[in-house]
Amino acid sequence: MRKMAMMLAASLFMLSSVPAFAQTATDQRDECLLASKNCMNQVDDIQQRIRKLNREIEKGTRVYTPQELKKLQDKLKETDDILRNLERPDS
Amino acid sequence: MSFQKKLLAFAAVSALSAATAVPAMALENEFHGMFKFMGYQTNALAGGDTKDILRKDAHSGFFAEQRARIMYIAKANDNLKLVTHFELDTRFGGISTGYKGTTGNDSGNLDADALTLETKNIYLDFNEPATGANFKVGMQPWADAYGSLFLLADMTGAIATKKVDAFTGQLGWFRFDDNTAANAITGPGQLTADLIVADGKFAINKDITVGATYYNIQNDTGLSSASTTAPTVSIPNYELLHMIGVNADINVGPANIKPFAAYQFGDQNSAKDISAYMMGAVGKVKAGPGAVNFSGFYLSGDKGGTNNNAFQIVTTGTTYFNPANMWLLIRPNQAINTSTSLTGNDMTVGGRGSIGVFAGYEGAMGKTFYNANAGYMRTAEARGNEKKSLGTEVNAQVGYKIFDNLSASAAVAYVFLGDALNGKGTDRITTYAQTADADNPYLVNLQLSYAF
Repeated sequence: MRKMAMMLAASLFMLSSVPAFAQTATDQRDECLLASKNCMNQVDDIQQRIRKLNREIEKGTRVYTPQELKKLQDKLKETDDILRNLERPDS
Repeated sequence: MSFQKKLLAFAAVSALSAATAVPAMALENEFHGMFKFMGYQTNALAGGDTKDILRKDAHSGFFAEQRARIMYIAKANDNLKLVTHFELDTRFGGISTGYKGTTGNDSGNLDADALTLETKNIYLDFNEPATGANFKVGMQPWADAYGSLFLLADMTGAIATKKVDAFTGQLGWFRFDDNTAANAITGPGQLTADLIVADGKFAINKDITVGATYYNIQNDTGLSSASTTAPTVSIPNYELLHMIGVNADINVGPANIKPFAAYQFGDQNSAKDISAYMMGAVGKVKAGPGAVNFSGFYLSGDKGGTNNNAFQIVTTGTTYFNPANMWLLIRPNQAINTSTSLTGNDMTVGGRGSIGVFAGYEGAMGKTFYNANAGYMRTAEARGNEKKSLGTEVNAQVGYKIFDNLSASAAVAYVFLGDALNGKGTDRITTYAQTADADNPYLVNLQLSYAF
């Protein structure tokens, strides 16, 4: 029974803690509203994404398996293709 | 464990798994886009893309334009996504004659408020788990393996790509024209133009990749038919085209070289065959703080005879040669709404064929970037008294990265026209040189470029 109670408590904690990420504590500045920084839901722009992918690929096999590296390289190519398509000089 | 306890445990585990599973099931909404502002001081362009102005005493003036592209990708997971891509073009001050795919004003008019949204791409992109192949189905961009000298366009179709070790194979079908009227009683698909693509690439090692392609165009849009929708002139201007080619991507020390060559054959019409070819190369060599770029191409031309020896394309508006880094001789690779060249983007120069050689240097110092280029172009064949030399361009650009994704730049370009474009009489190609003794064209380009 104690095990059950622990599990319930853990699940309750996880459920209730998720929304707390989206809010700042009462004495913290909201940098997201103030300066568009540290927003929980922000996404990378295309240059950031290319930079991050290049950085991860450079780590090579000491961090990633060959399959994972291949996947990162595919994602880099896909991102490069998106940028090329966006900047294509058609009339 | 009693039944109640089991139930309680099941409920707890379910709640936990539901709470953790939510992010994994969520759809990823990916937004990308670009915005460019361009101001031109020039005697060669007026904000349009038919062709450059080549006249004696050509007036110089200023115009500005902007383009935004918005891409939204609905990504269910790494193996399934829908890609949508839209475009909004405006010339400052507005223009109301069907500018840039819109009918009516382009919203650059007083108080804006016009419809300008253009659809570029809408396609499904998925990896099929059973075969491991990637499929792209719908309205999508496609580029040839020949520097886009033959075709780069957004088209409706489907393409499958499968990788097996070092080999990548591609099979595709695009229907880029269908003049069959809606509900036509003659039946579907009677007046169509299709492109079939078969592409194979093999990576011999990490520095050398070789490829072979076969493209096939079957054009029935101009067939005489009971339908009144058949156009009098079909596009492209041939009925059947086969194009076979080879290409490579080679890294040697600090250099990367991409040579390519292709041969075309087929039927222009029932009386005339096509027999044409092209070749070229694009290279980049790291040198100092930047890189030396060089590129060149040869497109065969036609002198007249039983065979048409001119290199065939689909339309001039769907050809490019971005590695040239030109502003006037060939359409610039940074262009937006105004995207044209001395020959109206027709690198076949009306079937005369052409030879182009280009070289330049690009580099960066901190947030500043720069490039300078020179290029020369001439026709492969001359017709009548026409001369062959089209011109020599020199250009340079300096830019500054205001932010990571926003840059401002200024460029200048000047063309010393060749005899074929500034001739005084029948020695000039009148399709492009509108008057005899045309002035040398030039432009100054000011640009703001944001991509995200």
